[in-house]
Amino acid sequence: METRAATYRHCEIKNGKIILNGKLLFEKADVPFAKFIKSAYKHFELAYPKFHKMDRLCKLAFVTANLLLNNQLEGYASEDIGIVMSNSNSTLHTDSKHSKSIIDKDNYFPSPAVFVYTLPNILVGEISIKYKIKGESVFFVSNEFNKDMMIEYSEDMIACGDAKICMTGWVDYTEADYHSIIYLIK
Amino acid sequence: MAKTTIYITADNIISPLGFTSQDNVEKISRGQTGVKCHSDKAIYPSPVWVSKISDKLLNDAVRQLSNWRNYTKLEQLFLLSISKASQQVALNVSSKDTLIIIASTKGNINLLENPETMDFPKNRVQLGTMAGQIQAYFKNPNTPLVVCNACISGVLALDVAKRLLAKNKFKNIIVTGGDLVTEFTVSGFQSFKAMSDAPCKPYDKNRVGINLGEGVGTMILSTTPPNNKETHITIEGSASSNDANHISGPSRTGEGLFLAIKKALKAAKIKPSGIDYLSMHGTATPYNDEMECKALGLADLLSIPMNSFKGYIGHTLGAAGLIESIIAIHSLKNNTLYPSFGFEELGVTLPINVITKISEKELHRCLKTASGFGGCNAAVIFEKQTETSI
Repeated sequence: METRAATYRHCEIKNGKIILNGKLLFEKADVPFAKFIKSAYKHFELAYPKFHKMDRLCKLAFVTANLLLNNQLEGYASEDIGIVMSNSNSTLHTDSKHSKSIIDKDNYFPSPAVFVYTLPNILVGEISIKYKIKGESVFFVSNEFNKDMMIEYSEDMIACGDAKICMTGWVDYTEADYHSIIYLIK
Repeated sequence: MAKTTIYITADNIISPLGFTSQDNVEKISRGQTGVKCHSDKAIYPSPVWVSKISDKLLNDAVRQLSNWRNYTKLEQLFLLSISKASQQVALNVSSKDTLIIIASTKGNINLLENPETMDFPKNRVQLGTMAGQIQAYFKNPNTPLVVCNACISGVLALDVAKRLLAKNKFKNIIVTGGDLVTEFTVSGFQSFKAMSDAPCKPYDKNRVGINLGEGVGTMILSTTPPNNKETHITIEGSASSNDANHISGPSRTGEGLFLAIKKALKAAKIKPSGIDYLSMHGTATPYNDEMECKALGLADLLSIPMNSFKGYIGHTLGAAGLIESIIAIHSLKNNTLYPSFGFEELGVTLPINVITKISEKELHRCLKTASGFGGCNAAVIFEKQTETSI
């Protein structure tokens, strides 16, 4: 399965590095995530104002998806593009942010702009809006990235005609660490 | 590829209306609602209208679980519901042929709110760790799948189960969905100004928003029909879609939901006229309900009798798709259409057929839909098979 996964186009971001199909595209080590992802956004001239409103998990997913896709979806109908995503910490970072806003009853300030990012499939929504993707999608949460199962699930979706191409992967963010890897299955 | 028939062999609902599907359907047939005004500072600083399971009833019920103190409230609900459903068909939950799929939006999020008062390790807030507790309780060898996909999680979990059963990966899949009413979600929906200050009124002219609800719904899906039952319910088709429009606002056109409905009908190989009843998402927010009527217009389903169960049990988030699907399949089995609670005067722009009176009708097929944040939509079609039709 490792070899089969590697045959699909894939983009990975971890430890301050962005890697496309095993090739280093961008590196900015030893800076906090927020600074790193902003540098990448600028470096690749992604120019998408909505990016600045996203939470960190969505920013990570968005940059990964952008570099992975890069015109790869041309020729596919919106409803034929599927997305199968997963992570382990769901939206924990933003959950904590929302939670902090409601601890003090005398200083109670829950915000819809934060709360909306307390669902992990929002990152699927953000990618779908940018690329006009309207096909089947699902977000799984598991402690480990079950790459084989996810790739097989996506291949099945394509085999039974429910999608013609599928973005499949893992996008996880916590205060302590981050990791994304997305495959393009066709 | 030959189509695998997928049977729903057992089901359970735990909600404020009762701890079995029958209790819930019975209360709904009598027009009772679990939505009440709660003045509880642990939920929200000011009074809110939500559908919440009584702590006393739950505490009495959990004593049938072994080591019940080791589990969080939501875990207890999952364990109870799965136990009750699997006992109906004497399912071997610890078999390698059985998979558990869990649908939840926020899982044990209440642990994040009050870590100092809780006796559970911090990692129980992770859905995968919560799922591991449920797996271990039943000694099931397969790592459960967790579907966390906003308000369509429940319907989508059925779609995932259908795919895995069609691949013959498992013989039985337990699909369970659950979420709690917590200050986390109440304050979030309040900040969106999306909450109703009375029992919600889906599709009504005076609807103002949702009531949150808590509960768990469990279905057992199988590739073999249940023994000794004349009537079987099968899943004929399911699909999901994305609006690709806005992360929190429903689509103005209903095209995304229409796409999911269209795909589900195509998978089931039936025409819109083959649907007898629609169990809709109907959250009672102005935009959602309007979006749904547009989708039904596009799908040529405006005349089909329809309802939303949100007025009875609130919006149970990750559980909604399962609890509401279970009530819908009991509708099919009982040949009974239940009124859409809270509806008085049509408040959407197309002439949908909202059920206002409990009535008997021969029912064969039901379409269930769900839509949620992130622009996601899902649809599933249930069919009643009687011995003579097989």
